Amino acid sequence: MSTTHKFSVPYTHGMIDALENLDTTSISDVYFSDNKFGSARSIFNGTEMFDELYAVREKYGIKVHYLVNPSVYENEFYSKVPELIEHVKEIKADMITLNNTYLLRANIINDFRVGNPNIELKNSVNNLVRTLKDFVFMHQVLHMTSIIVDRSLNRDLDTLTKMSNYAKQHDIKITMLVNEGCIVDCKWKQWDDVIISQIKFQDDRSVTDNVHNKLGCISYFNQNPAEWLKTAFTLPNDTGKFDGLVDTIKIAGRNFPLEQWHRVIDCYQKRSGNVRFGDLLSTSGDQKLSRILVNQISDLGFNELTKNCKTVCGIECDHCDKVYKQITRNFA
Amino acid sequence: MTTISMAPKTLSGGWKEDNLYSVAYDVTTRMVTGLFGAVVPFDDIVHSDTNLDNHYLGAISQELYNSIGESISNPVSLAFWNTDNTLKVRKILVDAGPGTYLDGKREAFVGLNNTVTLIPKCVDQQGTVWNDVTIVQIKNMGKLEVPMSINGQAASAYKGTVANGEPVSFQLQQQGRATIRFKISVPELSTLWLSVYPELYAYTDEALAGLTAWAADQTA
Repeated sequence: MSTTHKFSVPYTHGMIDALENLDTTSISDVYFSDNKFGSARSIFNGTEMFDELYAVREKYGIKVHYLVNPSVYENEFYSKVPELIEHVKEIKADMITLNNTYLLRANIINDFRVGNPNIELKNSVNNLVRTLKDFVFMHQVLHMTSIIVDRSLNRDLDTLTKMSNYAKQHDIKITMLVNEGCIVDCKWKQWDDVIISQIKFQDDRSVTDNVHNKLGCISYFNQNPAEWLKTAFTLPNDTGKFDGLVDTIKIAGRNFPLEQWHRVIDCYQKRSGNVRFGDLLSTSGDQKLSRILVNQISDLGFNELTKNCKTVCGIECDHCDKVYKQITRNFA
Repeated sequence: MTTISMAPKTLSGGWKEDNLYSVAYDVTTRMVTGLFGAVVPFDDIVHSDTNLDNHYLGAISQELYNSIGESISNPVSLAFWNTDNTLKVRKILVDAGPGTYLDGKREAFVGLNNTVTLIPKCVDQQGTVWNDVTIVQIKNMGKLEVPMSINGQAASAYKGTVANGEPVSFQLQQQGRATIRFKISVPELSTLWLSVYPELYAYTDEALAGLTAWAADQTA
């Protein structure tokens, strides 16, 4: 059952029992955040979460991976950096994702390594490492040796190959986030990030949820269903295109119910297309498309035509629009 | 019998013997897209989508309720409202043939000598085969990258056909996982397909020897 890739999976409550039915040897780490320095601070599972994370590490050797990547930092944050370093030590993290390029340039990993000499550091997908120049910059200026590339690279094998060649020469590991389903270069993203960064556990989210749902990508995908197919993702039965190019596949889904969490990871591990499109992605959209199996989408030639399309949607390409029309004509 | 099927979603409220039901259907494709029930007679729902219409069914059996529910949530099944005002349900199912087993851990069919025999069939909600569907189309989704012989053909022929309800063999030529597709065109609905995507797994020589020994034990 093992594949050539390792998997970075999101924390979800109860995962330790569900792991029994997955290929745990291919899962490198489980990532999470908390309400202290983490992103998505509205999701907070308390000491129970840490107990489960440590049990997962103990039982399966899966590393504990802390996300410290709010996209908006308060000015006071910089005076709290020693507190961050101490917190990382206290929670016994094996890996950190950090998007703050000041701290990366300052080689903060050396401070983390005082607490844990083997700790690993990754940048965030929101650092938008999109070009070879970006990739080299992350390495040469920000000292990164484990780089999460931009979501757009799901459909740009040419650039990914160039990055991979450079990575092999410099012993850099590449991670690809495969099932987020965000719009490439999304114009709502910075505002979503502000919401995610600023809202904390138990805050009233009714106003921001309303703004997000009515004026953001959810309503956009519902009004323009085919646009969801143009977002950044790689279907589970197409991850073979990353063989030899990507070291770790990162699975999105910190908000997934346990059953969905299991199904999505299982399909990526097996490279199976027997999963519904709507279950796979962490964004949501058109109901007809949600119910369609990934196999039904790839049956229409989707994988071949989007492997390296570079998201040139519009005048140059309307393949996803045609696939959507075929889906609604033949299946829905 | 082994049936490839995803777990159907539970419809809200559940079936009740005395409830009265109405279906919503797409006027173009005829496909049923909704099932509504109430304990008292009710007026048909007015849809904002003008491509949808309703038909009042009244009381229905739990079996029909479940079938319609499954057709709404499961791609291997569909229910449709015919122009002659009849409701039909069609499903595509797959049975395992001789020497073929389901590997529960891998969720894939495996076979002795890495030959998997499957029996695809189009049935109604009672499991009765629809004889008007004569041809089931077969496709190796991995094409030439995942070579297999379909019914003794060369691996380069990654497509084939089989009669509805008849067995078809897949000789897997590469260790690992493969996905195939069985597809039928629904005679009453000119553009719609029903398809199912069973997954097959070819063992290593060592695992194959284990399967052979296990299978021999079952028949001993």
